[in-house]
Amino acid sequence: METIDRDTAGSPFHLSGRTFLVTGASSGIGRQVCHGIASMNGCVIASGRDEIRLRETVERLDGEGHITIGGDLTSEEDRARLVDGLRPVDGVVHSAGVSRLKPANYLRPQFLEEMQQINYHAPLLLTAEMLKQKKISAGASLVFLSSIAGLIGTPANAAYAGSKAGIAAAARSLAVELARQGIRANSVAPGMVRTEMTEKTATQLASGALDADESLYPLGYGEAEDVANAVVFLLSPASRWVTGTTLVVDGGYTSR
Amino acid sequence: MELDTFINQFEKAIEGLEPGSVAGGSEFRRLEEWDSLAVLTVLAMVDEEYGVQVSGLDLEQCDTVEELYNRIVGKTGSGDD
Repeated sequence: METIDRDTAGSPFHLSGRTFLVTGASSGIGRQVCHGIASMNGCVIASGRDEIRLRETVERLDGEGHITIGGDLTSEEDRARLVDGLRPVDGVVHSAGVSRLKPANYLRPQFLEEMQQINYHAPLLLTAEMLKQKKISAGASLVFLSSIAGLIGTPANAAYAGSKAGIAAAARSLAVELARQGIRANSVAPGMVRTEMTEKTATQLASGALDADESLYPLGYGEAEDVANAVVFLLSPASRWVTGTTLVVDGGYTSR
Repeated sequence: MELDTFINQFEKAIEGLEPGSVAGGSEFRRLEEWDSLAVLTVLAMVDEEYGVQVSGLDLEQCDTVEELYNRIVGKTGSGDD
């Protein structure tokens, strides 16, 4: 029988006694997800390529027991090493990703492959390795970061959109396949939030382009925290009957 | 790399631009065909043809096609990509 401690008593939104692996934890949404988990008394295993920034993330978290594991998730060797060193976890947040705009007539194999490797292959292959090594506990929740770009058309975004639609579709398949193990799988589709990654993508555009884009959001652009809160909900027991869904968090953009 | 070659590549890249319609002194933002997709197209073309990454902000600091060309040459020379 599940132990109910004082923190979780009365609130299924708490994460006490649970441990979560977060990829892409050194910045942006991933870093904010770590804060969200820690603020609900969960324990974080932060993964990312930049070990210095990763340690910065963990040092600033509430509570104790959080750890970092460095590595490049597109490398089979790094993935195996990461999973070897893990204890079974109660959930995984796949937030490592890249975004780059490219008009359709300039799409090339290397560009597409790199985008797919990071945004689609790496999260699925990490999941595969964790399942193989039995590092995902019964009752765990897997959350994949998709994007509204996977739901609606935006120019010069075919490579990114495809990778993000793909990962949401993969999450639905995993949801059905892993239900018998009590493992849930969902995706979150954020609209534009201001992070280092989106600011970098924005440097491809003229200034003023972002302001024009923001005006299309009924609630304006979001913050990483807004997305992280949705992720924390999907990790928590409060969402125990939610699996195979894509939670759109976009300030109303796709509702227009 | 020569200005004429660059102008030719610029004209080819942007949908709707006729060959010979652009000169070194043309202010590209005044072109009827210039829009946000044209910005991304020029950036992608420069990346592919010259292996140089220019940003939208780089573009903003140029008015004419020749100024853009010179900026790219500068980046190629300095290896700043």
